[in-house]
Amino acid sequence: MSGIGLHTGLKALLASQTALENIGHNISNASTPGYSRQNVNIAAAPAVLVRGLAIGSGVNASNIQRTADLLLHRRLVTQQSMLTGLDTRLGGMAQVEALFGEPGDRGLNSLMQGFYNSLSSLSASPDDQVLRTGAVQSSQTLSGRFNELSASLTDVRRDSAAQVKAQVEQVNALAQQISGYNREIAAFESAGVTANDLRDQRDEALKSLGNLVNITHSEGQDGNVTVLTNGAMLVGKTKAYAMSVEVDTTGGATLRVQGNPNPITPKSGSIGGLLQIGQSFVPDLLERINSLAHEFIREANRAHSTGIPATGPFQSLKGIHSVQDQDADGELGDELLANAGLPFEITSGQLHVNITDRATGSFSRTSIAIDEENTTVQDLLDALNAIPHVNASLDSFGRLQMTADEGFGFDFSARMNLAPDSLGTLGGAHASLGTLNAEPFALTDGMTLDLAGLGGSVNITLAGSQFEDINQASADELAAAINANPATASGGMRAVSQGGHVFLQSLTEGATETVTLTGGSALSALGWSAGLSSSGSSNSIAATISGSYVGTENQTFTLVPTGDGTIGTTPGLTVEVFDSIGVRVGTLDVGEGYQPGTPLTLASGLKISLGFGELSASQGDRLQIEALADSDTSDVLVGLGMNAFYAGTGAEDMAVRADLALDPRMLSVSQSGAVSDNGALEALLDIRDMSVDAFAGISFGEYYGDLVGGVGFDIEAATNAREVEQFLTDTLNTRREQISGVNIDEELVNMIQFQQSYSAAARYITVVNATSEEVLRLL
Amino acid sequence: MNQQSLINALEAWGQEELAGQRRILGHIQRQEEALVANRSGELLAACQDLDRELRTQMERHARRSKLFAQFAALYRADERALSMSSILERAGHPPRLSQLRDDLRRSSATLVRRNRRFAALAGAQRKLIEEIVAELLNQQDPKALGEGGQLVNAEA
Repeated sequence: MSGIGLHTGLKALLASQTALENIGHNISNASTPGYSRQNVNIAAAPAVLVRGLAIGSGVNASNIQRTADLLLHRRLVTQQSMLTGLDTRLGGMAQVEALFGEPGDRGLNSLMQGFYNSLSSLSASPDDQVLRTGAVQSSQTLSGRFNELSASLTDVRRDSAAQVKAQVEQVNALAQQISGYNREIAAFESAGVTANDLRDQRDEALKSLGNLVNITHSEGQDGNVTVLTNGAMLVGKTKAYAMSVEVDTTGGATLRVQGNPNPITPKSGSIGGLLQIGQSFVPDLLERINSLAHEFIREANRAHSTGIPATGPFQSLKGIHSVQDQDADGELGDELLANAGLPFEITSGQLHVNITDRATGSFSRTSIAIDEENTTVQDLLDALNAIPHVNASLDSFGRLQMTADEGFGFDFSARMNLAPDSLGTLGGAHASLGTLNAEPFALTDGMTLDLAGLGGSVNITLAGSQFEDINQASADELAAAINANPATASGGMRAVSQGGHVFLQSLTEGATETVTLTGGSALSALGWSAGLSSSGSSNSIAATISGSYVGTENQTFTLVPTGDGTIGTTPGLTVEVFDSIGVRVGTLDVGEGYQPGTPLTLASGLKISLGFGELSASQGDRLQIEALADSDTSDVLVGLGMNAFYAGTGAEDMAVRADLALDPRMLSVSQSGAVSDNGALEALLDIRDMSVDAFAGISFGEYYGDLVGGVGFDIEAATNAREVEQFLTDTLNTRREQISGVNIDEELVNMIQFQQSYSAAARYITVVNATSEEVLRLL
Repeated sequence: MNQQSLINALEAWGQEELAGQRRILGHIQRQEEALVANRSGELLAACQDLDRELRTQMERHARRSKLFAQFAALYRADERALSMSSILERAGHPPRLSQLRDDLRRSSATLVRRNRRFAALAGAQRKLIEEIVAELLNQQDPKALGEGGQLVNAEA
């Protein structure tokens, strides 16, 4: 090989790929006598200027040696920088992996299971005080672990930033050193002597600098080395430029280099590794842990907010989240609920509020519509205050507080009204006439209704001012207009509305009560006719609901008799059941042969029994039964933190609500109010397997599994990358020894041969990869 | 062919594939050593051996496709949905074939890993040489090296 002249190598270096192949062939005959002269024939062209280099003038061998050596050193510095970066990253990742403690008793996975298990135990005995305490404790343990994880990850981030700060000082010290060596080497070599020792020391300093941060360096004609990091000059010809770092309170770090306006983001070296851990890996995990906690809080609070505690419906309740004065006008009431700075989203939907009369146990339900684009905080307060026996206001922190009058309580549960016919619209003991038409009623200003009860007659004139739009009058408006006339009550009558129909009823119950439609221009618009009359009854049909509603949507079932008759007696007497959109979902056979009081299937897990009494389709009997799957479809309770389970909004501040932690009786596990009921607890337990929208439909457990698995995967990927980088570094070291130890001419010839070999090898790399992965897929 | 015959054929294919993968791994190892030791001749020789081995792998690939098609017909399943694991599941996990599947899995994973490592090494070496050459030519873009130029007599 030594027979090949230096220029042969150079020719090859300058050749095109095709020419390289020819040269490679020639090289294989290198030992043939006379080779160089004979084969040079193919390159007998005159010297030309190729890309600015005058080929033919020859290149000094020692220059080539130095160039190759410098480039190898430069690569080695880069390679070691990458290796150090990966080592640092791996160290940080391993530290983070240990924080999760998976799999293990202290891992979130195990604590989540503990939480579900304690709820499951309580579900079997909801009134057991010990189990209630256990459930609260496991909830606290879980939230405590979230807090701990969040704090530990934040600490890792801060530690990384602190280490970056310390290492930036080392960077500056090394940059100064290199700048100093530059000056000394230039001074030394200007005398024509190579400053070998100083160059070695500068090389070492460059290597140390590269271990801290990724650099590129190049040597000028004058022997000075300039160093760049991420495009910013760190060491120039005459001076070093200082690197600085700003660290914020959360551990965020911003690096800059003097004279460069833009921040830099080192990719390798230990600073690069620390930044990847502190500015990317950990923040990403923190965000995901926070997201997990946030959604978990939302779902737990969603389930809990509509439950009823062991102490029964609330006398008073205060939200834990504050409405913010977003428009800074000093008023909170004018804020849109959906944009009031609350930590959980409020959407359009319905909030149902139940008011219980503690003396009788009966309750009434009010539905409040929330429109995310229109409903303000004040609108909600007004709607709540419009409910009899409820007072609502904001406290000085902007939190919603509600109280009930003495003798009453309120809750937001989806409980069924087990005796739904409180108005007696389906065979009640009142005399009752229901409109055969449903709202909206096409009335006009001045229309009249002539009614007669036991107390006397009344002539009602309907005025447009009593309606928002009298041509499309609602049942509520019409009932209010009828009741607004004092003669209605003095005549022994009242009007009530239900399900879009108006019922004219006697004020009291009993067989002697009557109401009659004597005339009026509004009758036909209501589906009524003059002369229609109803008598009261000595007994009211007792409609009683049993079972649990298992539907997934809120429903209103309407029961309409198909004829007139007596329950259990009249042949063919049936009651049809319609759902919210008017589809008939069942027919109750209550005629001859039906044993009054026997439960009949209504729909979706519900049963209804009808007691003895008279039904009348011609008098407009009908009954609405509300079945709720979710009593707060707007999430306004979650947004305001009413009857929350967890306080806080993320992993950092998640905690069991303070008064709940102190008194486990406040755990709202009941849906009906009965202490032994576990309806709301079941909803809490459903969290375990629910598909979470925010996580693209996977469950909490799966999301966390992905998160922890992702950390493991990242570590494995970084370990594999490190193995490759270590291998490359070792190889470069070997190459450097080789290039320093052999004739540079031979080395260059070798390079040419390798160029050809690489091309051959590259073809197989792709094939081997594709076939092996295909086999893997088939296994 | 009945299921047992197909299982036997699958086992035979698996044994051959495993042996073939081990030979490929050996060639890649030789390539790697040649690169590190700076012996281009050996690198080329290893490439040629690898080329021969990959040709036999193509034959195995065709045989395996046919075999899987027969399994698919037997099970009335979509061929694309079949895997060795699903075949094992249907065949009641015959122990030798299960072991073979595990060995193949390990072998393929190692092969993929070593191949990637060699790719990284070859890439880095090539880049280094391009850099050195480019530096000598005073070129800014090392990739431009292969784009043109002509053979000249530098001695002239």
